[in-house]
Amino acid sequence: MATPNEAQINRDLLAPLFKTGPKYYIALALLGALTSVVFIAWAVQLVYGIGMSGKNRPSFWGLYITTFVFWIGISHAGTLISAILRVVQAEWRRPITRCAEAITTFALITGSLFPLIHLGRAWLFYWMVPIPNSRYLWPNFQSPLMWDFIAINTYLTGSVTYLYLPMIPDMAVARDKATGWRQKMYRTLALGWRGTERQWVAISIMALIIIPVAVSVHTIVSWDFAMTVMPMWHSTIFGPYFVVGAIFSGIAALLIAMVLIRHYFHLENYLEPIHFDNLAKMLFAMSLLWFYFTFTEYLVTWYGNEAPEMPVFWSKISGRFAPLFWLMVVCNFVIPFPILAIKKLRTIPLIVFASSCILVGMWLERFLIIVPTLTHPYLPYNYGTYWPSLTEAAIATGTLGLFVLLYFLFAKFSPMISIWEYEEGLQVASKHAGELADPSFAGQIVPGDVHPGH
Amino acid sequence: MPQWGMTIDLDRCTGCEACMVACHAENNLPIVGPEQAAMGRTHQWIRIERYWEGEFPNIRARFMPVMCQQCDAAPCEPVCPVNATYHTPDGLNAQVYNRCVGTRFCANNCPYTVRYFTWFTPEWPSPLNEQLNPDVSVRTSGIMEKCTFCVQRIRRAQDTAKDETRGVRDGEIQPACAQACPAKVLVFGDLSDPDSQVSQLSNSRRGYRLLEELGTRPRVVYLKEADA
Amino acid sequence: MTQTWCLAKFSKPLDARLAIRRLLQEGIQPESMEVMTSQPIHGEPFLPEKKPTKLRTWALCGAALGLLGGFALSTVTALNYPLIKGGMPIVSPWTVGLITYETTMLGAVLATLVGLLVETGLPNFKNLPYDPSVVDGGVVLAVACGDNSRASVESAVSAAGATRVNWV
Repeated sequence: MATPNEAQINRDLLAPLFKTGPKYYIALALLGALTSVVFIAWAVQLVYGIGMSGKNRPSFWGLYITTFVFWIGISHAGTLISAILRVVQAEWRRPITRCAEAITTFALITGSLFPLIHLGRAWLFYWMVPIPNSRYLWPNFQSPLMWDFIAINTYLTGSVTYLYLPMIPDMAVARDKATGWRQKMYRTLALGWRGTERQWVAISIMALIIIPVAVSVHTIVSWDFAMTVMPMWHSTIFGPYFVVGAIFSGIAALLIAMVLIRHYFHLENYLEPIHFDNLAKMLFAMSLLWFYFTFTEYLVTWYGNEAPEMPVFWSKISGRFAPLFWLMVVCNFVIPFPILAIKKLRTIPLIVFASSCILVGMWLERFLIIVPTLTHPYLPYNYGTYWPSLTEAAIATGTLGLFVLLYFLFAKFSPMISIWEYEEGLQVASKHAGELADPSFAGQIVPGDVHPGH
Repeated sequence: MPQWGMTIDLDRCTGCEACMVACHAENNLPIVGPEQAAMGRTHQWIRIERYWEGEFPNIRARFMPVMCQQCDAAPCEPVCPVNATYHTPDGLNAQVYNRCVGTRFCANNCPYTVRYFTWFTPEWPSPLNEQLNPDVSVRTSGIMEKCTFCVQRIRRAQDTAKDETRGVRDGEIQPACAQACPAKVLVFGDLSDPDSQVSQLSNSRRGYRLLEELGTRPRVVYLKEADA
Repeated sequence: MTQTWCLAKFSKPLDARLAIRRLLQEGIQPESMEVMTSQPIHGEPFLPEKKPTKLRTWALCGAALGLLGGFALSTVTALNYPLIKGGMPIVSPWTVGLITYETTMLGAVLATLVGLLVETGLPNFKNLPYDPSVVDGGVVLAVACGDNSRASVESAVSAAGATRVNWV
């Protein structure tokens, strides 16, 4: 395959920004409708009361917290791909980083809605913000929910920063190719980037910090459960379990996003099968890890045979929640295992199927962590049931529309493959090829050269 | 500083639920209606838990009044993000209605499941609103609530005692449940006073605390049935 | 003496390096030259290193500020209105440590953002020159010269193989 030159790369990757077909507008309208369902249902809930959801005593938390943890989990895609693969200098990450970082930012924004949505008195949410106020009251920093607040905001700040900073050179390319109002927009966003040496050196210093932040964020979210005394919540495994599950669901979401971008933006030359193959192998490793953690948790619970925990355990294995539990195991492990393990089956369509199953399975996993425990508290007189209400289900599923809508809008606004990083990758690759061919070659011709006239 | 506590004599409890009715009346508990009750959203700051034991013909019913245990190491207190619940110096687990934003984390962390949430704004169609107790706030939707050991009665008795420049006498403060109970199951008083009835009953050999192994250090002592 | 900028476009980084060598020989200072590319070019830097970027310092300062801020936030606010919750101490090392960890990271991130903007000279308030054609590949060399060096600069860059020379 001929290596495209830079002008061609710019054209291919900027094409979606400047040209839009009718399919996009139709999809946008549908997503807008789905997103507005969220806000309409939320408005109903604000007016009539949180009783519009299906929650009750003892299931004080339900679909909202499930979906919250789900979205925060998905947000771990970007960190893993961008930061860790950058650190280990895995060259194949280059076309993927922008897609992944965008997923992180928008999943965090979507997930952060839920701590507002699930509040009984949502209009007073600002009492959780630690700023001096007229009540002379501060929030309670001993509460895991405050840790959530600080951690998620830190992660959001970090991921927006590390999404935007590498975007600046691409905004400059868009600025130089755009006309009209678009050019004004990109000129503002490019901040006058010129591509000097000093600027490149600075922007190549990348985000190591975001890795410990990401690990801490999902650990802290898991501590919303693990810090309680409730049966099968008060488990030390939750921290790593949730981080692994987050990375697992994050990679699955990323694969689906990549497939759609590759198809609809005609980027088959840039997002190649090797990228999907490598990510699928990582997904396989995560599936094994997820299974390992789940198996450990349940085996230890069963063997310990503690009286408060066994009703929760059996309700999941053979009781009311058994169909969901085994569906989760099938979706997260049984289906992905052969698809991701066997090279012949690791085709792009099957990888997408496995990823979709994994997303369903991971949502179910969050649900099955929350509701069985809550419906089986310590005192058996208080056992209960939980059914989501229409309002609740509308808001939870509608956030999928919100996430995809934000992602859609972003894809029209920024190239979904980082142009400069991709070009840098070609430079590195041909330099290595040149050095391999003739070791004395090193440093003489610096690739990225453009022949005059192209 | 008094340390409030309660003993519940399970040998005497008949399960009549008079305590529940009295608590409803005293503390302005909302009546949620049949549909909401079927969903599991009733408010019962004190509830009678009934357990059946044994097979026919040797069946026993056991009744346990359960209300907020006012734990000294309450798991519900540290998890509230806005400090709406804390431990008062006289040993009560306080719930500050104005401060609650309704995250419901405290309810999740209570092993006794004694916290109740107001899912909708309660209504008292006339003339039921005339029955509301003026000493107790009426809670709106989105707020957590639970048994307070009738803190309004405690404070009123303390105020009266201060006016009369004396201490509070043992037995002077009767929470609504204790006052209504025909079998004198519930005894309330000052645990720091060794002569009070509640202190002496707490030391009974029949005494135990609910879910004591969790380390919550509840202030309510249950007295086992004599032939249990 | 008016200062003008010579923007010379080269198709290969090698040509640009040749031009820089000639200009240095003619006595043009490295501070008045700038190289612009569409991607970071690996290998030796084009111009002698001016000053290393101080991003690490920015990040560390931000982290230190975040640490102090987080520590103050969690301890001072708890002691301000001490409430006993769950029998736990008013200020405990675990919770203070956790909040401080997060604010340290936040401080580092924000400081890196600000530091990067400062170090890279963004936004381009000084309106330094730029050639938009560089995004399609190649290298642009910008040389600041006074009136009397115009001719020598032009001959140096042309001899090195500049495909286009602009003056702004």
